[in-house]
Amino acid sequence: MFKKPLLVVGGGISGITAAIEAAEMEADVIIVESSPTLGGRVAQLRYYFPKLCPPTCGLEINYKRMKARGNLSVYTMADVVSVSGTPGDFKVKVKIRPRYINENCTACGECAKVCEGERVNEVDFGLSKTKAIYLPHPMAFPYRYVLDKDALAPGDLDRIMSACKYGAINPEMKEEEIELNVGAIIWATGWKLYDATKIDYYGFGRFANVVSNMQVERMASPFGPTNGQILRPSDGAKPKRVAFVQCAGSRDENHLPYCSYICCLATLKHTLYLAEQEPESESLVFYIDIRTPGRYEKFFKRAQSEANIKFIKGKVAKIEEDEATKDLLVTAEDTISGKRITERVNMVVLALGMQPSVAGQTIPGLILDAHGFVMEKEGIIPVGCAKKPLDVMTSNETATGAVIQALAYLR
Amino acid sequence: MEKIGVFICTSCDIGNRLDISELEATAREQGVNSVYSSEFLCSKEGREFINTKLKEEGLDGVSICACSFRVNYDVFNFGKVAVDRVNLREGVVWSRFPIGENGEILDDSVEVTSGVAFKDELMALAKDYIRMSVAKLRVYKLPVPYQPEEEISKTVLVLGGGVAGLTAALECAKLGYPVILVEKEKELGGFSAKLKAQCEAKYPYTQLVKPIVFSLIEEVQKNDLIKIYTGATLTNLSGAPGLYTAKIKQGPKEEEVKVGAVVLATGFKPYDASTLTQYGYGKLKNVITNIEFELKAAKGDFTRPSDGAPIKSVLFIQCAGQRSDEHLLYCSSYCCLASLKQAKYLREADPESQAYIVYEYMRTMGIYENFYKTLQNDPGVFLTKGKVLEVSEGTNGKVKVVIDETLFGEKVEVEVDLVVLAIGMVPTTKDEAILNLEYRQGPALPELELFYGYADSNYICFPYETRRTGIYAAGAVHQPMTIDQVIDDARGAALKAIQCLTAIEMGHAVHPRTWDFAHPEWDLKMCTQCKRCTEECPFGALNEDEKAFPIPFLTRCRRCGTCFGACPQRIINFKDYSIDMITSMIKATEMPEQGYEQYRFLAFVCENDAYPALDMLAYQRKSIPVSIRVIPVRCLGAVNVAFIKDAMSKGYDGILLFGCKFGENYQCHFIKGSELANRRMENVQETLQQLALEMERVTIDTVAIDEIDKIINKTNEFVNLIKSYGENPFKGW
Amino acid sequence: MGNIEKLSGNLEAVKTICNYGGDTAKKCYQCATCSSVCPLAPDEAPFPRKQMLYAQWGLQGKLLNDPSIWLCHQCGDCTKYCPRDARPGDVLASLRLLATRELLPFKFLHTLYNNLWGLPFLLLIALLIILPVLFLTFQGIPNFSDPTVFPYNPELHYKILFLDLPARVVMNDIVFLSLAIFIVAIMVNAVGKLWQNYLDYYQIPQAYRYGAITILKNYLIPALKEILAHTRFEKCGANSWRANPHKMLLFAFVILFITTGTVFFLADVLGMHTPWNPFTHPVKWMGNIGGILLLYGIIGLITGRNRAVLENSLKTSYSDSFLLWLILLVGLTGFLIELGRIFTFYYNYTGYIYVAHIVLVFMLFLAIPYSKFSHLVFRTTAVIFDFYYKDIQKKI
Repeated sequence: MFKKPLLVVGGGISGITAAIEAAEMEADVIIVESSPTLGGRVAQLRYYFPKLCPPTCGLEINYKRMKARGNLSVYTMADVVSVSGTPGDFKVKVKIRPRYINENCTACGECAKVCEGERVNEVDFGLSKTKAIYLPHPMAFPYRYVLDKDALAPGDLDRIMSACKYGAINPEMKEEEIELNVGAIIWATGWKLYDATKIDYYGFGRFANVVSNMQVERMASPFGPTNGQILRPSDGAKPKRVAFVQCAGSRDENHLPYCSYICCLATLKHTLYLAEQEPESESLVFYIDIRTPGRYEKFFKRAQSEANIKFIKGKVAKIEEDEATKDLLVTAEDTISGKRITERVNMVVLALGMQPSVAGQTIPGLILDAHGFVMEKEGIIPVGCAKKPLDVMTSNETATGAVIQALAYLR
Repeated sequence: MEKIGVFICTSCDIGNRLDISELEATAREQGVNSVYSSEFLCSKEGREFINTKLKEEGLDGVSICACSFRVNYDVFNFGKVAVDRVNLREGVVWSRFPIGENGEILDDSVEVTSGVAFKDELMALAKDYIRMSVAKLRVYKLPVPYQPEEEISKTVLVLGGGVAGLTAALECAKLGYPVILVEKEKELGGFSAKLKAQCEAKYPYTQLVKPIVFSLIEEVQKNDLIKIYTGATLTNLSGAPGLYTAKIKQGPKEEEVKVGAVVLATGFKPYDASTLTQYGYGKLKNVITNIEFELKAAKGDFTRPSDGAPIKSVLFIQCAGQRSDEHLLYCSSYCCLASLKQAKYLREADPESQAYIVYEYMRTMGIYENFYKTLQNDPGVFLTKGKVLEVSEGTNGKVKVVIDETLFGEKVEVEVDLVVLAIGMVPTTKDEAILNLEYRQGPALPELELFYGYADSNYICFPYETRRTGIYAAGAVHQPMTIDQVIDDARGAALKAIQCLTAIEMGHAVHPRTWDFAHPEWDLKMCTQCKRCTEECPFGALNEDEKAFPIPFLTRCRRCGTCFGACPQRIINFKDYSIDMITSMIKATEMPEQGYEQYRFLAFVCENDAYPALDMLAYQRKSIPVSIRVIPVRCLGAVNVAFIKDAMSKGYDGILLFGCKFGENYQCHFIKGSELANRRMENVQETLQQLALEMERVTIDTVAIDEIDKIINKTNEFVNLIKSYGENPFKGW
Repeated sequence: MGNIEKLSGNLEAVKTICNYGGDTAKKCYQCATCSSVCPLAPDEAPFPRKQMLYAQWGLQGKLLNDPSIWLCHQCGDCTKYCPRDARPGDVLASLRLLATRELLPFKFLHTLYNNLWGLPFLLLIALLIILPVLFLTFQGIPNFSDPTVFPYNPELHYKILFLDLPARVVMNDIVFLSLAIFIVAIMVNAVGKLWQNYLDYYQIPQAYRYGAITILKNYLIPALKEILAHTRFEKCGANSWRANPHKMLLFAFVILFITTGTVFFLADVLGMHTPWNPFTHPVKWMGNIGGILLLYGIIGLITGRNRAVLENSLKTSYSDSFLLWLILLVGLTGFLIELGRIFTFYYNYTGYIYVAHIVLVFMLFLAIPYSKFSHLVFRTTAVIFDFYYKDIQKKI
């Protein structure tokens, strides 16, 4: 029925969705994912709002649907270098970085046991370390280890090589470039967290207890750095009073001029995490507008009833650290009372916005708008957060919708 | 299967912790054709080895005793040969350890009960799994894809001729699928055809543009694959996906057409503003809704309703009757943009005019923030957060609005010519069963109340997963949304509709079990017409004939096995999943004699959440009691009470069931699987009590895929509790 | 909070504010970043968030009666951090200009002072007033190329009462004394209005509405102390560089004011007539120190501003640069006249330079009410009110 395969760039929830929906239309599909595993951002989340259900559940179903498909292939650690050709007949150059681990790997973990070198775990947003040879996360797909050669300690290589009974480690692997000939491209490279250090007055990186919303998500995750507990980085104590800084970077001409869609909801979710962990805890949410569109309003109400939240309409523009206690002093104007207030809290969570992953990159054949979001053109269809800031459900609507457009180019 | 081979892998600690030769012996005892063990079975060589043996010995079923079926699924796939995976790695050697007082892992040689080393129990577990696997393969039959006798209709029925419906129709037609488009109004276009303008649905999102619906109408009318019925409604939809018969009433005449799948795009109705008396609607002529203002503006009419005087000032009240306990509980998502847009209408019509917008939260999501900015820059647009306290008659026909909690820090009063209420959307599905399904379970989509009447999905990852196969909602009947989202959504629904037809053609289930070619089969000879299957099917897959016999419609079915679990007569079976299969698996296990303190527990776990959780627990080398045997099931709804009875009489000391969360935010993709199981087990527990057994011997619990520690605690608590009760007295009967 | 404020957006006012450089005010979405970063705003009544809202709605009344706009020193922190690029600092600057206009009579002068096209008219006005007096006092058109004829004419003397004044002095006295009287009159009137507005805006009970004397007695001194010390200015974050040159400039003006006073007394009253020896005469020393400080300060401000504009923490309107350059020129011409007597090569042009100088000084005097220079008076008023208000707050 279809002449050419479909290329899906990005293996996050949007990419996976698009790929499977297309594959189940009996089209051949190729996924190109930059990281060593599929799953993307949602694999880093503990729960989705508003149901507070684990994203891994949906991933499991999707993986299972993929596994049953012979017509779907996946390249990990691969990046699209350039796109040329015409709709229905694209030539796509893809660079594949070496994993140094071949398909022999059974993920038995013997190598990691003997490996001494460590590396910062980007999945935990720097809150933890992994061995130089590591499994990205428990829902990794493919379920296979990765070797970060630069992180190896002296002697590690021999140790891990001899620990592996299956000849799965190949330090000689080289970077390769392949060219794919595809009929259409669905662009699902998703988002990255805005760099909080660019917002100097929030002290992220300078003050131990100023953390990002995604770091909270990792801490809350049972597979995260703190086994599911939200703790102050400075002393590992459970925070009793936490300030949430909304629009940290978003709706800001100096940073991200647009609204990132999910931060308000994510923060409400985090207040519920806190309430679950420490019923006495108090959350202070400093906002400009609480944006919980559609049925999410119910989740807003839920958070208000289940968590102990104080809402302050006013953007935080000053955060100071109390040297002694490492507590933080957060200043904002409460625009309703018209008074300027300063609150002492144990931890500050920056509700950081989303930036398109491809922002700042130039990929021949791809058009980006001023913010770095991918613009649609004949046969190249952006979906999810590569298209615009979105939640998961809407992302998957765009991803599913893109497939029917793409199929027209494959015939 | 006739000729069964057992292949045991010795790698990944299996060889280290288990006595392979003993396992081989056990396998042989089961009377299989051949038993082999080798290391690294998932290697090319390993796979080659199995392949050659398959050919040499003409095996039709293999039991791969290695790792979880969740890994190496592609390696251990031998086409037409039935494969069963015995999970010795994750299920045994990586998740069963002797644990010391302070949680440390002890040596396998430690005694668990007098004269029994942990190693013995571990071996017993591994052996039982092999026995179960062989027993399973014996009764296992290769699935036969379902092919309906009647010809499958590839036509897509699209209900609603608005942006959503038109988009869906076009996308289907583009791929060569015939479409029948039904619109109840005389004209195509729906509400957006009545708009003066719409916010542009692409970067930079700052302009107002002509509603795109008009170009869509043109294209649809040009497309000869699309048959249009205007002024028409769907009066009846009978049959099943791929095989529907739709009765379409157009004026006096009613027509019957064959359709395969349905896109539901009937949009919304404005909220009934007559209930908004607190804003003076109905009392004051110069208080109107945003819908009414839009229609006025489209006509170029900017005069006051009361006296036709030109409108110099308008105040927009956001969230009128929304986000409110008395009215709509939700946010309609479009109103902030709409009011900004309408403010622009006024300002463009009269540069001296003034537009006030009073909002609680300005919700211009994503890059629509740009549109907000554009309007902010207009000197004649005055914005403030605020709560409207009072709307009343002002001087000379004006309307007086009192606002509290403003950014001015004080209550303010503004007098304007016109007040516009930003009212919400109500999905058309809220009050009428638009689909008029001829289903035993009723004419409409079930559990709409969960979503305020929207034809929405309960699953964040799967926006089109509803309880009626082959029917996919799009646009403002799906979720509250703006036009740019409607377009994507309509494409999505269209894709799901034609994808459903592909699945039917291929003979496999639709999402979530798209890999499943098996399907339930009824042996009606023994049916007692108890109606359990027809009532409990979450997807309304069954109708009943006049004698209350079930009439299955397999293209509606999602293969969850709820009917299978419900049937007291055990007459519903799948080729690859049957009462016979599970009971013989249970029977195959070895039950120690009474009095030796060797407890045995059985756990039925949900394949999608609990079972992966067990795997992940294994990857962290955490431990659950060695006395538990795990049987994965497609859904707890597919656990027939017969299994429990068999297990208890076999002598199992306790039975655990792990399913998904139920209740308002249920996570079961088969809707009520775990909930139904829960109800069934309550009955079982009564029976237990009648037999003077502790009801806790059968315990059901819910775990999510990430709740590893919960599983560990629950299993240990359970085992300890039952041990405190003592062994099952029926052991060894 | 009980009482209800009748409001209505004022489109015209919004447009005016935009024309005065407040156009960015509309971009504000009231996140209040500005109010929390402002180093000068008091916690109980932070600015400029609310003032931005007033500007967006064109609520002139509220704006003019609000001391906050004068307490703002345009540090630029708000502008630097504003997420909407609404530049609150610059908006408040334009609001001050607008307030000045509202408070004073002869609004056309304000217009001339704050538009480039007004410049020639200002010069014309200055000349039209100065020249007649000059010709009168010098009995006809003097030879400007001969300093001994103009301005240093030893013959021309006027005996008024017991005084014996040279023509030059008589000319200056006539021009500047009358100008001073005019300015003082309108400013006193304006300050009175402003003060009344403040009292009403803050609804100060009658009992606490003290008379001018009491107010000055109690609050002028602390206010002046603070102003001279520039304590507020030094709190500035983004544009803290301005504190020092601005302070020096202020000192310069104070010193020059005293100098002028002394000269007036010594020369006009005691008849100890200038020119004096710049190296030996103590009053000259004082004057020169003042002059040098003035040049230092003004150059510091000009260069600093240019830098700030590049860093985008500040925007420079015509009104800003006009005043800066005017002050600079006054300083330069002043020195030129003095140095003419040492470096004699251009001594013969002293006459022209002298006329230029007094024209510039004339314009500078008149700038006190009609340009942003007015903050000299109005900010002082606001600061005094601030002290007064804080004080009676305690009492109430």
